[in-house]
Amino acid sequence: MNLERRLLLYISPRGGLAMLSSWRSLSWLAEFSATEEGMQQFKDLLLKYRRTPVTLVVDSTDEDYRLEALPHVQGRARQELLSRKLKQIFRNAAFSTAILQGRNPDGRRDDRYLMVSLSDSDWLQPWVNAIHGCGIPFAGMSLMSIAAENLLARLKIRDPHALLVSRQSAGLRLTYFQHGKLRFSRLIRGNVQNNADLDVAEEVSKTQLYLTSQRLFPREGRLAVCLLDLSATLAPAQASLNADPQFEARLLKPDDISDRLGIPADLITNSPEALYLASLKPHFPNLAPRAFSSGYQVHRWRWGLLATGAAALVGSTAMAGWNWLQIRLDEAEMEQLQASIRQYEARYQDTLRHLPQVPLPADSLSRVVGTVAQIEKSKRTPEEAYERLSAVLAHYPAIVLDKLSWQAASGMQNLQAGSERLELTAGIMPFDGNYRAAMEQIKRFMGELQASPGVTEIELTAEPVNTSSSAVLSGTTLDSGEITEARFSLRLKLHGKAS
Amino acid sequence: MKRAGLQSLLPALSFFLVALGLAAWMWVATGNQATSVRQQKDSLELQHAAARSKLAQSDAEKNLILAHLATYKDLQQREVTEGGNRLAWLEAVQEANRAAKLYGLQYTLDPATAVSESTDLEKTRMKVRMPLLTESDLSVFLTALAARNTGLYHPHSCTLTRTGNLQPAPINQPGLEAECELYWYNIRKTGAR
Repeated sequence: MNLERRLLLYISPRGGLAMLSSWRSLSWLAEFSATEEGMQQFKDLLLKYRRTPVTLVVDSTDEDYRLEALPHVQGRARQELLSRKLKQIFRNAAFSTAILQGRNPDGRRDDRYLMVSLSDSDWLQPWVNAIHGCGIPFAGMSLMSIAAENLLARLKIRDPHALLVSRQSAGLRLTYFQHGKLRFSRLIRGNVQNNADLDVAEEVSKTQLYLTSQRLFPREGRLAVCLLDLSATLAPAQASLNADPQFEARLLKPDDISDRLGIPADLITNSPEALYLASLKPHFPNLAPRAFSSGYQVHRWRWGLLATGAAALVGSTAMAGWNWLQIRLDEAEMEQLQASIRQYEARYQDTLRHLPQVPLPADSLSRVVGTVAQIEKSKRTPEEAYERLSAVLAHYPAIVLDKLSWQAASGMQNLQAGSERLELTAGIMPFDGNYRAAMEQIKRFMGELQASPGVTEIELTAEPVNTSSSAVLSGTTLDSGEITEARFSLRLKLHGKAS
Repeated sequence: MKRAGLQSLLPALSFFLVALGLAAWMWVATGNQATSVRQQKDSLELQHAAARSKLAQSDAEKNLILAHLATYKDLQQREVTEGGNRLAWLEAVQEANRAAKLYGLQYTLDPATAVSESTDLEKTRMKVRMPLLTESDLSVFLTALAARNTGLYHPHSCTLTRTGNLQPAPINQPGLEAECELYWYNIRKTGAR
């Protein structure tokens, strides 16, 4: 179903009828006879709906169908090829088209086309002129057989060989489909009102013979005949056809059709053509030359522009609404945030007011207190080192101290480690000039110091006598000579306890 | 399409252009406003987070200050804060010297220097030179200094040098000299940081 409102016109040599197709509905408008009066009514209707696109569906006995296989080309080349082929086949037919029906499965895989034309359109010309004359957007022209292809699909008839039979105002329409694709169609006009004189079964048989002769239908095939029995007159034909094993006829009642297609049953009973009109796709093979549809192109452009503009307006209005909603939500959230910020600020000021008055920031205070604690903890005095030294010196009365230096380690980490340094300068008194004995005594003294608790390292920095081969060494061993001192220096490293 | 066709399209085209312009304007204008409000909201959210963090920090600061307040007040009492009190240090060493019944002392105070462990602390080297009668006088002096509980210090070095001979003398004359380096610590003045 097309979204666009469209005027559907059914035209046959006997007259026509008009229906209005809009969103999911089809309504009957008028019926015209092929007379002056009918033409005037037709023109009046066109004027009334002059802004509504019109689609023409023609029901004629003068239809021509030809199957052609053409090389697979596309675009402009295809258009030119088809145009040439149509002229070649149908000569000067004013209304013709080619319907692509797939590709050959083998060989060059040519495209298969069904060439369709209206071989005699003189009777149609006044109707077309009327449409053209009133400037109504002309969407295009199609045939009942083309609409029937879609009708078959919508009725879900999937037989490989199907013949759709319907009786309408113009006559008896028989349309043959192979695997759902249109192959051939014919209209048979009766001589009396409602074409009641036509023998449907006989016409079906004739059509089957023709199709077989044209090799469109296989000789041993079984033809599914679908009788659209809208006027409840085809039951005898079904019985007659089913007597022949070559046919499998089935009746489709108005109620069945109405259910399947969603069209009111009374509409299709009163106007069987409505079935075909309703089945026509929005984009159908158009038999009318392109020039006929220029008004429709303008119409489509106009509606395209209007629809796009309106869609843009609606879209942007929706977007603006969404933005407005977001703004309102954000503003409400901002108000809450501001209130919360004010609350936090008030609590912060309150905390500040009750904060103890200290000239240092909290983190600095923490650092200072920590460092002070470290200083207090690592505080040392020389007393412990002196005591250790005194305890050893008591065993060496001959060693007399001249200078004693104590030094705590520099740097907080070394202080905490508790390292101290002691340097002493002493002499051995009395000294009889026996350096060997003096050195022995110093070594014993150093050994005892080394063994005392807390001493980690001991070093003799100055010996009583320099025995190095690179130094000058002088002295005397005369009895009258002065007794020299045996002076030496030591350096100790201690590991003390904090005070 | 012919000229007439194009002319008949003009109203629709005008509508299309006007609608497109209007749609674009609505889109952009409300979009900009929404973006602006969103940015304001983002900024407020940042302010909100900052305010909350500041409050939490102030609570933490308060707890930290309260935890160290007693120690700080003790340091205040010992005149370690506000740049220290050099006069008090000098008085402390002099009184310790007197309390140890020593013979007086010479002192030198260096300018204060920074402490690497804390930018808020500084230390001052004090050199003290004093004659002693015996080695134990130094201990007595240091004990007396510690007992005064003035300032914050630690002895860095002490050198004892014999200045007299070892022969016994009728009058007690100091035969030793002590030279000590004491490091005095103080918290910088508020404006000096």
